Amino acid sequence: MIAMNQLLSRLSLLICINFFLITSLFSQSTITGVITDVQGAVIQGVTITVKGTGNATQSNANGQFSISASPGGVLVFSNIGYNTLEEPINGRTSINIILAESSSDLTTVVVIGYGTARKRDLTGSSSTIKGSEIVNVPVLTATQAIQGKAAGVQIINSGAPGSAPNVRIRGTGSILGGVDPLYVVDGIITTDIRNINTADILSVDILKDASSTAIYGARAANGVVLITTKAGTRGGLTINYNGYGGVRMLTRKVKMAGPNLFTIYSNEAAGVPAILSTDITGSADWYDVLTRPAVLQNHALSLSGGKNQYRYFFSAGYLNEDGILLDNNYRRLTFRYNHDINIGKKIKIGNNLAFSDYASNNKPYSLFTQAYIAAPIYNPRNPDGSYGFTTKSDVGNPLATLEYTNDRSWGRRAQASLWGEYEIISGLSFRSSFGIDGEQNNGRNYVPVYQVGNTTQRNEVSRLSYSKDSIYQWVWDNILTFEKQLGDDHNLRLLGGHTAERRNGWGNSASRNNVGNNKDEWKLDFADTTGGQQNFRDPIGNYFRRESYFLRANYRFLEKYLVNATFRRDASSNFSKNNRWASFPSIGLGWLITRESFFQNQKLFDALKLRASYGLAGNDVVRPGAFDLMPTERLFAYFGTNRVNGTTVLGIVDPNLKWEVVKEFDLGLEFTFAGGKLSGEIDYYHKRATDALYDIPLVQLGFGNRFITNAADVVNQGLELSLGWNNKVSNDLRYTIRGNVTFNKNNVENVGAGKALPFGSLGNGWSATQTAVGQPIGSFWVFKTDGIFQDQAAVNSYPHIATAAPGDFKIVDVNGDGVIDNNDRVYAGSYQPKFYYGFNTTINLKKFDFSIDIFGNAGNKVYNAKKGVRYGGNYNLEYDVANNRWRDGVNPSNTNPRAYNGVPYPTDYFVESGSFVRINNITAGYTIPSSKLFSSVRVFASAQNPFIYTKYTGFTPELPGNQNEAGIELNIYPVSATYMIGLNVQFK
Amino acid sequence: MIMKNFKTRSLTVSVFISSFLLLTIVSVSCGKNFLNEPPRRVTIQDLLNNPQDGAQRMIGAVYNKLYDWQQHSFSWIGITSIATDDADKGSDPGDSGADKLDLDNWVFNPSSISFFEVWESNFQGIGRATYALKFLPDMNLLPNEKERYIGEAKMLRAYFYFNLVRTFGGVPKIDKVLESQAEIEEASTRRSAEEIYALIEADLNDAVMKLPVTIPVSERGRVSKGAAQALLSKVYLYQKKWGQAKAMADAVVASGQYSLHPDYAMIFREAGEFSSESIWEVNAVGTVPNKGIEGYFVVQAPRGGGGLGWGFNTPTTDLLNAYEPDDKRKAGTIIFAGQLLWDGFQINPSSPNPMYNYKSYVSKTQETFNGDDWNSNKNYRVMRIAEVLLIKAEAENELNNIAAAQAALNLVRNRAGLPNTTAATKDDLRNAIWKERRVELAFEHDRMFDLRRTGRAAAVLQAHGKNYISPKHDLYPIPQSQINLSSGKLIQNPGY
Repeated sequence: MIAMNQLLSRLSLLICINFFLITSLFSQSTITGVITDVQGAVIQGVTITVKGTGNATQSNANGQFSISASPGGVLVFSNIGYNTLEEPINGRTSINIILAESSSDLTTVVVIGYGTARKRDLTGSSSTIKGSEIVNVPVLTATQAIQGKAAGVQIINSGAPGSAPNVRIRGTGSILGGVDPLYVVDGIITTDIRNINTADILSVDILKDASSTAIYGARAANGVVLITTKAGTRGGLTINYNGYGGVRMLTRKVKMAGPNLFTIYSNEAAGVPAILSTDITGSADWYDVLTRPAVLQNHALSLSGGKNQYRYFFSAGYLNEDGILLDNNYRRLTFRYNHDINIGKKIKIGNNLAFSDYASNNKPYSLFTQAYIAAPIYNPRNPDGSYGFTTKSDVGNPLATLEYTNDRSWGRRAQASLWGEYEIISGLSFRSSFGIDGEQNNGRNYVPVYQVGNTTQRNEVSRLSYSKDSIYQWVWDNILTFEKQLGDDHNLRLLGGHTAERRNGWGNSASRNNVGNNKDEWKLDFADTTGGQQNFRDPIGNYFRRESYFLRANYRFLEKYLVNATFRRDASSNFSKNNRWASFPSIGLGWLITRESFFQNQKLFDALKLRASYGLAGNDVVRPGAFDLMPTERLFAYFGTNRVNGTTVLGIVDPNLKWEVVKEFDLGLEFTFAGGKLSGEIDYYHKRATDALYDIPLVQLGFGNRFITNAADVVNQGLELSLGWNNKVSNDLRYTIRGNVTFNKNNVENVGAGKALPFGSLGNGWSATQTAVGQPIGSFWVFKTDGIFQDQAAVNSYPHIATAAPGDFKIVDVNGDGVIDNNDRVYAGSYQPKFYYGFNTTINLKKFDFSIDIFGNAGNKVYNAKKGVRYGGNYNLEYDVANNRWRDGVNPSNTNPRAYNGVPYPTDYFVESGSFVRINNITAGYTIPSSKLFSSVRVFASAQNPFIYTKYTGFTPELPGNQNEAGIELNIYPVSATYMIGLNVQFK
Repeated sequence: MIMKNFKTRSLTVSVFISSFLLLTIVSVSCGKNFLNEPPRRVTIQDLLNNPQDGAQRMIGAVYNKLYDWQQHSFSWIGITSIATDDADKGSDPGDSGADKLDLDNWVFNPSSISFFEVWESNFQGIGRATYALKFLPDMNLLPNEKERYIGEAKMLRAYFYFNLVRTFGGVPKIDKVLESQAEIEEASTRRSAEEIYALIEADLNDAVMKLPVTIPVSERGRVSKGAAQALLSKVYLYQKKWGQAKAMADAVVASGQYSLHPDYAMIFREAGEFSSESIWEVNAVGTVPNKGIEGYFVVQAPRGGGGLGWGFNTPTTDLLNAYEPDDKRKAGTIIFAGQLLWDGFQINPSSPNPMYNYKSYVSKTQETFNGDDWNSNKNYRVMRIAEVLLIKAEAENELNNIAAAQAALNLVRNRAGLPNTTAATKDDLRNAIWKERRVELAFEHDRMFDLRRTGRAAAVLQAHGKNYISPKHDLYPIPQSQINLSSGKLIQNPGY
């Protein structure tokens, strides 16, 4: 390979040229005009090209444009979210244009893999969300804000500051491989988008079917999310400010037992008066003690502009988000500089530079569980300021745990992509882009010496640990594109390219004891090996090298028949030489029915398009070196005072490990009715992941208890429907109503040796889920109950576990063998919903705007594991569980068991409905008419997650996690509601 | 700077085109190398290429298993001690310790976690030893070094197998590295206890030949010839091979390396580590970088206000009453609630349990302790000379050498401050030796297997009020998960 520094120096030269040329101008005769929407508002950022030439410009903040063209030419006006318009010049020098907005109209321009296309030309399924729908939502990552806005895209949000949501496009397609989509930001592949300021985003495009995704073959199996950041606009300097601030609160608090009920229950369970009334020294509602209304604020400022030959966009963002847990905080700074420039008529070069910096004060999420189980019989703090305590419970004071936690993380990430395009001959152009992405993440954890009262909640030796990860990645794309119109009937677009990428990095960690009782003491020297310091250096978990070749051909015949074929050949270092390369082809066909002559006489449809596609996509997300028999180190033993770094092989591997391949079929219909007011899309898809990675469980004979191989088949099939209604009632009243629903059925069809895999450890020796043939991934696997044993005779007359007593659940002997064991467990649904849906509406009335977003999912289950964490130790429990317990002769409950201190069996008692409907967002805004200083000012108030309807009795039914064990509420961060006000200003 | 200039343009063109061509050439010619991601960790080849280091690392990995939570801590304590008449579950009444309450009450089932952990950990040890035995013969080591490593691997494998065969009876036999799913499936079938004992004996006999008599201070924790002989004598004892048991015990005694420690209580303190009494200990280190017997101390340490640990595995009144008056061992074995310990630590009088295990106690002030009570300094005593003397006594008695049996037994009794045994007949003496084993080896993970070995388990434990069912409970159940994974090839013990 070319040495990296040579390459960098060449690219930095390109940047230099880039800056140099900002001042260069061309003196040419021009056509000018203003572009507005149908309401008369100016539109900035519209691309204006002279058809058949490379000459292009964009409208400025006032909607104005200026471009040189021959008097007989045709101007093409295109912008994401609007219908593309072709306007013959006919000798005019001033042309004013009105562009029609198109929410899901077929003429919209959308971003696709390695390019853009008119939506009408697509043969695949994709969804577009405009940046304006994201900018004012209080989220860290864009994907959190698109929940409920795109069919086929399931977003599972976490309430924790600084965390990214789970994104599942068209179901969960892998058991052990990756299930997250591929993210492509301005053409550069990445895995984490938390560093992007949402105000910088122009659009989010989600590619769903194989025809759209297969161009990214290697990692496209879970769909692709394309994020396009804003570019500058030709015209004067535009300054934009978007900001909001608000407060976030825990909304659904579970009522816990109070001191008396807790004591009664504990004593009843123990069978002895373990807790006396004198042990009750106070009371605490631990959730109130640990949580707070959390303040958040976000500010984004951007400067953009440009002239004929260049455009720039600069932005700075600041986000500061408190967690609802005391002292939990996340803050992020972001900067972006996007720039492009034309050099002559044939060359265009540009860059996208992004930098982000974050810092987080972490508090363990296990505190929510600790607050759940902590005894409520003492005050959190004594009058003298010391922590309250009890010796009657194994659970320490959660407030002390929180305050003795000194866990901080911080880091930086810089992304730079530099690109150049050259039009070799008309229609044929070459683009090369090189992107680098470097990040460094640091962590520091200090544990002081402490002792809470007379309990075992203590730490006897202070300890400081420090970690530092450095990760870098580069990707180099080289692409040739060719477009040719042959006569009136044939249009051909070809694309061919090569890409290579590498990700690498190391993590260092060090720790030492006895560092002095100072929580701000944090200096550790990685080279120091004296004084009991331990240093480790490990590779990051997902280093790789990849290389790919790809081709795409789009053919359009008579503007109504579409053929789109792609082919990608990928190699990944994650597989051995024999299995390294794989090919991923796809084919898509489209038919614009409304263009047929036989369809011309109908008035029902404005547009109707039928499309079908089939293709293959791959998944290589597997631990590096998983195919190689590697010894494990650090199996330490001491010989005298000499620590031996025990190293040996611990299991077997599959040397023939290879790609997971997803074969996907899609059939879609796109339509527009009623003069463009009603538009929609309906899609059926069938995705089969073959050779899916699977852990084959083994009898433990000293050579591992499982090994990973290509053994499983997983099928996702479903139906997506989205509809939108746009109407302009009058100049003062416009509204949009959009809805979407996705039905998905997930099924594991084959698991190699046929053994189900247990997941979802409950921390008490039991697991709650299994991934098994004939069931969705991560199905709950539990014992069935049939009421409660009311007396000893009932226990004796039915098969029961050895510890069964009156008041316990009657566990059903499903297989009738007279013994209650794992063979009696049944599947009780999974966390994957049968369907999920979103509903959004926006109303503009004069200067007021109002919007509401609703999201829901239905038909899934959640496992309320918190109800089962009490097994002795005098843990607290829910008020309802304690109060409604079975009591001999007092409360012959058939649904709530007796007070009990043993480990509860995982039964259907813990499985609850996961269905919910939530108002994700309500926003009301008012736009102040423009003044001398401002082009526009909008103030708004908004509520995020203000209301949820669910039958679930826990904190939240929204429980992200690994696909095999999501939906278990154990250590989770409850979802909260946010209330805020914000301001959008555009300066003149 | 206007770029209409033809020369400049053609230059730019050639830059782009040549870089594209270059890339294509590069990717075709160097693609192969580009995609080879070199391993980031030590490889098997690295171990073989550096035999001095490699052999020590491979054997170190086998020793590492002895420290594991699953190997010698909660589950092992549960099945060897809590289940017996020596100990109760302990802790709070409501704290079941996963399946420990079920073990105490003998209401466990094949899915109880302790059986799985004991199965898994010992087989993992066997796997690691077998890996070492695969590579060691071909490694470039000095002959005596190589012999010693092989002897250690075999001795440790024998120890892991001895634990399995005592717990479950016959188990799958592993005598070579298994490299594929098919080989593991093939091996997943129970062999008879006799076959396993034959493997254990063969490994130990070989280890006796290969291991050194003395272990230098700098290598403490490694096994010696005496350790192999002591373990082998116990293995013979379990098979009632009296003559061989006696011969091996005699060999240990005759080596002159071991003698009874004058102060019983000291054996289990830090000051008594690797004392003259000691034949084999797992060498725990309680200073950074800590490597302790995971959780061993904290699980058994006194519980309650200001307490030290979880308070499991507490002595029974039955055990307390088993000590003869003046038996010094009682004070070395049992902590009483409210007691002032040897290091000045005051046990809370209102601890939830009346008694705790003293042998597992670690002093935080008078012994090495750096705050990591999970990885404490407490060594796990595997074999010591007192047990060898009791093995000798039992074997001599069965061989009708009453005087020799009494002599060996009396050595152990006298050290405890007790007079010579009064047992004179073979039957009385047998019972006396068994009783002596109980009090001498209390909380040293011997009681359960001793009761079963001698056929007394049902009588003793039923008399103690346990729900012991014979013959079902004469072996513990094969873990249900393993039976399921073997598709029924592993056959459960009778009664479960």
